[in-house]
Amino acid sequence: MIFDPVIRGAKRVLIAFWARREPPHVPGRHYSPAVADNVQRTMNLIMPLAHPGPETTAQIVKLLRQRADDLYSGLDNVGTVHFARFLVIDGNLQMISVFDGDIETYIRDFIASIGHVFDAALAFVKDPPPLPTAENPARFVDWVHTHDLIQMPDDLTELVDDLSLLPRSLLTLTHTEPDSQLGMYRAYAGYSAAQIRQALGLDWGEQ
Amino acid sequence: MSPAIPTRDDVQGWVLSGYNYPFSRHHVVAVHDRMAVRSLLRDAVTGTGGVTQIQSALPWGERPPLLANVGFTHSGLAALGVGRADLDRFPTDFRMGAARRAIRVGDFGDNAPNHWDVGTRDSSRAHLLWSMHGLTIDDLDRGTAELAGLGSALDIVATYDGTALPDNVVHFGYVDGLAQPRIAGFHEPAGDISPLGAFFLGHPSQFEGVIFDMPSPTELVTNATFNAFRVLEQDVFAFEDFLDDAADQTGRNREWVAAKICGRWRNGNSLVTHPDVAGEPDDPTVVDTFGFGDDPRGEVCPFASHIRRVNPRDGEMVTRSANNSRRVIRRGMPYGPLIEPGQPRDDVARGLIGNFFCASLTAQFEGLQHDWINQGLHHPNIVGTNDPISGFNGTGDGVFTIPMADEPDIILRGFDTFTRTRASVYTIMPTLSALRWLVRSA
Repeated sequence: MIFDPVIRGAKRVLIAFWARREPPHVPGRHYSPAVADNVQRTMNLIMPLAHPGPETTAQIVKLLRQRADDLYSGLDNVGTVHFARFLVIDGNLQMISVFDGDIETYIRDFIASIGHVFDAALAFVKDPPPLPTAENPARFVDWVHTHDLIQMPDDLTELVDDLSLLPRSLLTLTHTEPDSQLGMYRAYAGYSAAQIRQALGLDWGEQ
Repeated sequence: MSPAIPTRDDVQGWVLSGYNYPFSRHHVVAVHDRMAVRSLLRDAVTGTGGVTQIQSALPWGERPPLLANVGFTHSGLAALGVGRADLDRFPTDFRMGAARRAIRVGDFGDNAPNHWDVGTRDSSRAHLLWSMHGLTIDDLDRGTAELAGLGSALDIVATYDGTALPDNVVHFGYVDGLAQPRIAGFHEPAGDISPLGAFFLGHPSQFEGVIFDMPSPTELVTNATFNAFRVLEQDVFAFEDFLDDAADQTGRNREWVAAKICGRWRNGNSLVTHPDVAGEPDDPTVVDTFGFGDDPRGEVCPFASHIRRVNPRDGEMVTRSANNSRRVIRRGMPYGPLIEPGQPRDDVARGLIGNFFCASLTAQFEGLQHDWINQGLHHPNIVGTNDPISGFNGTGDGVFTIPMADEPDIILRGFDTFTRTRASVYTIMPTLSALRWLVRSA
């Protein structure tokens, strides 16, 4: 057992070597005609803080409390958002959300509704996008793509032929993208936020 | 500083006018000799050297026999010498081009780029879109000869000829082109009006507080307009068969079904103003003056109908205040021969050459295609269903709900995709002063 750390270290070196020699295909967002693939999509935005620490976190908490009404009514106005939450973990501001439709449409509707609140939060982030986002929406969308975790394909046969093995393609991908979304369960797949609100008798849009 | 307001003598006329000519021709052009093509463009801007002048939006007296307009792909701007730093500032949708964005707009399966015409999906060859409108085919041929006169300096890699059909109908039999956005500064400021920035780069957009990203240099992009050029083949026989089947299944008149799926009767009249019968065609001044606000259940005009998807007007919407946010200026002309009533099925290609002008391809054209035409996300009653006329319905996967007032809703199922994408090219159409800047050193 004394050799375990050595073996683990050797594996890491080998995987890094593989990844450098044969860079993995990093999957982009999945698109398909199926409705279940087009609603309840996820965004995992991981934004390193410029100066992580108690003061920064406290300032962000204060900002979100002060602007909570704007934020929630803005997300209501977008209308395609199921859940959205902000977290600070390990020096990263994170926005985790579940939304319907194309991510680029979502981000653009989001900028139009609550871009000003988001701009204030982005002021705490390292290497922020060009601000205000409302005057640079396309560059903000690009920035989101680079800060949104990659999503492992639901259908692993794209990467793995034999699930009893850990193939090189999966190892080099997890080396290149150490953080990723591994999967997601849906209790009611295929339904949009507006459908659920409508079924529950809640206001679902512009009436 | 705010950019200069677009003017009729500077913007390309096609953005502001559908021209209403009988013939059109679009050449997708590969640039081989930068200086020779820049020289051609310089002549085209000034209308000298025997080259037809790029048409501005100034009114004309007598109709010119030939109108020419030009757009550039991202690789086309590179081919003409725009620098890398500037090229990198263009929005990602335009930089990627239509083929790499295809999946986002519903170009799956038979509509996917590997089925498109080769020249149009190859960014190393699709550089310019040279669009002409002519009073006769001979006029168009003259315009083609102006390009061909450059010999090996360019290649025409694809050509699409449009022919207007009688009464402005398209091959599915509907009168088309009735609804167009009206733009502040160019149209009467009554009713819904789009801000300049919805169609010309550099101005406040239709999203409150948002200005779409300005690429650089400003000399090239100010007041420019993006265009999604699309060649959409229409299976008219399958569409008419579907109407027959739907009429049989529902016991309704097939023209009533045709009106429900489009939102307009085939003569162009809206279901809102003519809920029961088509009637005589409305006067052009009133044919587009209707809304959906008084039809909250879609019992008059279904939520899933083509015109209510692409332009929900004042109807209720999931995304508040988005009703006018995805509007595009549509310039379309049919191609291929008209089908006579009772004509047996043939294999002749026919369809629509569509141009969709906007200031943001993602926010307008692609948002419309992905979220509304192909997913129905703007209304909870139609989520997951696609536009029956222009959406991707797979093979036999189509579903269309007709809400009924005093009886169970009618649901049509199992229809195919009637429209196939044959080509798609994203271009930018600069102003005439921008073209002068582009060719300044020619």
